[in-house]
Amino acid sequence: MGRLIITFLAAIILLPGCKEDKSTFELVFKATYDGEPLVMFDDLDYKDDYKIRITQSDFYITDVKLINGDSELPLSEVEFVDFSSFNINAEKALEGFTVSYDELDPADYNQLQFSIGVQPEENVMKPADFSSNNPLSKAGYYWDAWDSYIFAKLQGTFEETPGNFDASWFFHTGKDELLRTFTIDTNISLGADETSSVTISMDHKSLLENQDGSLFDIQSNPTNHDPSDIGPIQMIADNYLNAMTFQ
Amino acid sequence: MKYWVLILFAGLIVLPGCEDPPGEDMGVSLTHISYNPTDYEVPAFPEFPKMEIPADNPLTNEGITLGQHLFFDPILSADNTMSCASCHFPELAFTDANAVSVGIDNVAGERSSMSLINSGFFTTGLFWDGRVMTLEEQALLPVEDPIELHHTWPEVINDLQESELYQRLFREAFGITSTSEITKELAAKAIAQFERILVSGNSKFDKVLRNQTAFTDEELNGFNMYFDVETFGFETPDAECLHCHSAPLMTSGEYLNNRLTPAETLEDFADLGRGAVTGVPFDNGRFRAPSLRNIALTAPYMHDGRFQTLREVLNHYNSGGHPSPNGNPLVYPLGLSEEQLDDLELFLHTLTDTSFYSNPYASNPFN
Repeated sequence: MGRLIITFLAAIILLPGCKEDKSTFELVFKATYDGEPLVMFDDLDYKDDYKIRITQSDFYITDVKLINGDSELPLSEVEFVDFSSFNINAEKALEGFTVSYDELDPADYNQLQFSIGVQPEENVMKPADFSSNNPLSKAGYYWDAWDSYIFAKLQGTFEETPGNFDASWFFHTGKDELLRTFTIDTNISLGADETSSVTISMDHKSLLENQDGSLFDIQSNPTNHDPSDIGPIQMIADNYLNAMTFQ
Repeated sequence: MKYWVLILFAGLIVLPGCEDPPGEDMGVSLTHISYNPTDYEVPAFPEFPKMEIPADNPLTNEGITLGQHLFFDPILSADNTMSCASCHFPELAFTDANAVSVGIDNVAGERSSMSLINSGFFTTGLFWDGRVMTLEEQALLPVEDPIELHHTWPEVINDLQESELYQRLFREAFGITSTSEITKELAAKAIAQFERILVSGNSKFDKVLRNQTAFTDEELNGFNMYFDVETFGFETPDAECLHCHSAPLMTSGEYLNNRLTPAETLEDFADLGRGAVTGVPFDNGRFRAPSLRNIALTAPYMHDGRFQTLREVLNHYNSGGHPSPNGNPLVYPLGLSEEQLDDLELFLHTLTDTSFYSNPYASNPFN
């Protein structure tokens, strides 16, 4: 009888431990400018003769997954990375905008994959098609004239005369052809009861580079709004790869 | 003898328990009034998002009826002179035609009354500064606001509990069994139900999109400018309206500084707007982009009612507004001609839809 009681008590104590332990994975996005933490509205050295401010930088990431050979772990269909309202001071900029995935099975992966932009199957839909808790419900991120979501907004002001930042610039990317998918080789071990993370630093000065390494002439061409001329925003879409570093 | 002593003691112990607890009013029983709520379906428009209705406050005809009465009843104000409808007239798309609203003590507020049309669809916050997220939260605030209805909820609830009309309406709406169950939370739920049925999606603009009618050439020109549509052979400049006033609700729901006020620094705003809510300096001077549906009915314009006419508004945007550190980059000098501004204004008039008046709930039940 005594043995039975001891066995019973041991089972009560040990059984919860039999529950499979789960893992957490975090994607940490850090916005930088020329290698330094980017704070919205800060004065930034740009070209020799004028500075800029970045007041908004945000974008959709979609089809986020971890990969190990033929094995894939889909993490999410869509997230909205919002530096605009997060990077309000240096402390926040250093901390980074974090997207967290919980309750994952422990396993090892060697690649992280995601796209910047909206997948074509969702890009035929409109914000009204999604519930308010879905990032794709953002009405301000759909452009009827393009029949497309705005994949990324990058905008700010620039100096017309020294110290005068009244003039605006903005580049909004969108349309299926500007969807870019990134596959990063990195070992990610999801351990039981552990949190793993990958930090992605995105240098915003690099986003504004031409192919020859010179910077966009923001003073002369501060916007993109002609759907037939996607040159600047195609450059930005292509620049995301070189602008990102991974840890 | 011992038996009787025991009964006596038991009586002494038990009897006080039969009394009402001190200070607790058990109210008047309402169970003689029938409770058979019937579902209400919000009019659906194919282009609109699905309205997200809280699970604990489903729309019923009885709930809406109660909300309608509360909305139009001055019982919510301290001196019985003003109701919600005093600042939200149905014929003005539920605004009040004043630059800023004035409360019962003739004290002017700081901001203009916002239209309630389609507010059930808004998911990014309410009021100009987004200080509450739900209609239920919103409905609680004006009653105790010292420059609005300047009352107290305990006094309002007391009045409602004593009213035979509201005893019946609360019972029919929520199935309460006693007047003591009438609360400010239930009142707010009913008002929120009423606001959710104020739906407008039958403007000329909507009918054009549904191929039920057509724009005039001028309206089409305005449409193309509003939505930055590139057309061949009929080129129009971009007016950039759609970025902040996106279809179908004609608002992005975002908080923006549309360069109304010149500001050298982020502290130079008389009304901090969104910044007062978030505490983030970048949000100073930002306000929620309002829906432009029925905009022709809701003059004067902007959060402080500074513009009397739509043309004044268009002139502001055409000028590019004032310098401001967090001014929206999409507000810049547009260079539109007077004729183009005319066309844009004509297009804005196509957003007018008065069909919601035909909803019997959208009128004063006391008339």
